[in-house]
Amino acid sequence: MANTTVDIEIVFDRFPELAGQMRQRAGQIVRKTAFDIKSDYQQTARRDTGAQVNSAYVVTANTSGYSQAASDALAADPTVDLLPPVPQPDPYTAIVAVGVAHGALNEYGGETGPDGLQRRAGDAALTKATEKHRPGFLGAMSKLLE
Amino acid sequence: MNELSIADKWIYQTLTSDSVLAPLIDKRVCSDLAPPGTAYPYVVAQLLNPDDLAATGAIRVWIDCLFLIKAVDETASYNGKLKQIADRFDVLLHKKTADLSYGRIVASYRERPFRMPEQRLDKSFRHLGGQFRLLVQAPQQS
Repeated sequence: MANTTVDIEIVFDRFPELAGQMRQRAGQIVRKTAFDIKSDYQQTARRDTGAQVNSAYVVTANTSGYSQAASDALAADPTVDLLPPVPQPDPYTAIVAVGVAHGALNEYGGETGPDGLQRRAGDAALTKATEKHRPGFLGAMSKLLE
Repeated sequence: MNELSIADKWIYQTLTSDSVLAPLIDKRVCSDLAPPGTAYPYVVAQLLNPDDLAATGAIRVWIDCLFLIKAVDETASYNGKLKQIADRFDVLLHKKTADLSYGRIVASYRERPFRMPEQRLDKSFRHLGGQFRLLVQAPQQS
């Protein structure tokens, strides 16, 4: 059997440029998905005073919505307990966070509930919003490689 | 067919028939919310997100449901009974399949661990477990 060899000479090396564009695009997809999740969460999460949904924010490598979210949460309920801001992540990560301390109880359920009176089931609003955007996120990321 | 009831039933039967869990929680495995007065510790399986996976022609392949399965105890520690219970979740629910008379668990696996502290006045609670993804099919229709 004859062997065939092929020599490839790279005349115009665009790989670094393409890799840079992919990284930039990947970061955009991550950030867009995070803001979409936050928006969905704010429409579907439990709303009593409004402090919890107002306190949702997105943190990226260069931006943080914490100050605005904290201000909006306190406007809805001046007595609400706020968590400290989450640290800023790397350029390919975006964090969707809920700023009020009782956010986890409403998401996952708790023994005392935000009102401190009774056991409460979670509504999993942030999980549902995240799962909703999972297919679109994976699809957009896959297209980067096509 | 509501496949969620298949998932609920399998989780309940699996956790309440385990000889290690029995002395710890007896039959205290609840869906979404434990009734008032439920003794500690107990287990709650909260449905976080259900989805249908459908093929062409709206043929339902399975339902894909994410559950938070956690042990809850009035304690300030994640160790002791709480850890013993949560450790059993891994043994009983992770990387499992099941052919049942009432349906099929195509897959059950843990996606991430979970823990949460809770403090109210002088009472401390701890929640420990994991998020499990279950792929569930209804029985084949003849």
